[in-house]
Amino acid sequence: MLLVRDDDAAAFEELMLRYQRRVVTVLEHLVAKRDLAEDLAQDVFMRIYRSRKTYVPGSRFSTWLFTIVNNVASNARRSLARRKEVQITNPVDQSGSQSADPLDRMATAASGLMPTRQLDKSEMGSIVRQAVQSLNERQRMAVLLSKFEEMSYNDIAETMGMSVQAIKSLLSRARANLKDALQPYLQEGTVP
Amino acid sequence: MDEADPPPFLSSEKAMTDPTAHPDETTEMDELLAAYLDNELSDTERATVETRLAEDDTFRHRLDELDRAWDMLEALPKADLDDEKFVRTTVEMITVAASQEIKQFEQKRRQSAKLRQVFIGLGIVALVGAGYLLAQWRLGRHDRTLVENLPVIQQIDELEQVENIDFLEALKKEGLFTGEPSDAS
Repeated sequence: MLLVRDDDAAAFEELMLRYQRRVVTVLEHLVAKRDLAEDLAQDVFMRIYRSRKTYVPGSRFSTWLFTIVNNVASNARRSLARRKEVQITNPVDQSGSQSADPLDRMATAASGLMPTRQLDKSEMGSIVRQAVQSLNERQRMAVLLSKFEEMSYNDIAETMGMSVQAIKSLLSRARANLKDALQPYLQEGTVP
Repeated sequence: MDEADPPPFLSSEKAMTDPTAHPDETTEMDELLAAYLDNELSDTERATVETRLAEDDTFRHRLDELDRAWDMLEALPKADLDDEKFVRTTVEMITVAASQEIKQFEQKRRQSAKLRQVFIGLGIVALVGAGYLLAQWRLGRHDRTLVENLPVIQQIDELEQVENIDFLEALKKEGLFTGEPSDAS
């Protein structure tokens, strides 16, 4: 990042190559739209480039980066909420008499066909994605930073502008909510 | 949490199975277990949790469920990205944005230069105007003095014959100079 700060274009490209997938992945889980996530990721890197001169040596780059990611995602969600273009939390059609919870619907549908069967990778990915989407925005961000960025509570607190104790509670509730959402699938990845 | 003050452990059996158990008890237990799994406990707290895990089946079962749910996150699909294309398009966006910023900067610079020129021009006009007015005022003052002293100028030849100014003052007081108001009036 110090090279980027000193206007090294190659270093900036290297930085993007190193972080862009992680940024897009986090943003995709935060805004639940792939195209939007890529646009927002580009916005994140543009902001980083523009504010490169303000980077303080010694501060952890990933903390700085994901603080920007968090801000960009929050702005995008507010904008989406205002325009009412999407339903971020429940993007799947909820028509009919089925349960409103997509996790319940998937479990019910699958169990109707086959009492107990092994989930394939795609099904499991979809179920876990729905479980993550069922978390509130802060819990989701904290989970993604903890799980995939392996950030400490201290770094997550700094990134999200919260206290360490608040992050501790947030992650604890997130873990409990995830456990509840994934309860039917906890037995070695089978559909009940 | 202070290492010297280990967390008050609650009865996990009660917290997990008793519907009347206070929700705070489960919350406290989950916070402790989550911090344990995230390696965020002090050595003392960790040792206490591990002792409890060895003794309490319910506590251990809760930890196991939380851990397995967490592990399932590995199944989350990762972004499948065309790295080179993403870098290229992002750099292009930055280049476009930067050139737009440079254009805007240049435009602003030109505008401010024009504005500065206009202000300088106006300043020069104002100075010239002020100089003209001052000159006019000074010249006017001279003319006014001449008009005021016109009777004296007209009679300058006669007045030059008089050497004593006091004598003239006395004549003036007696109203000898017609058409000229006396000091008293």
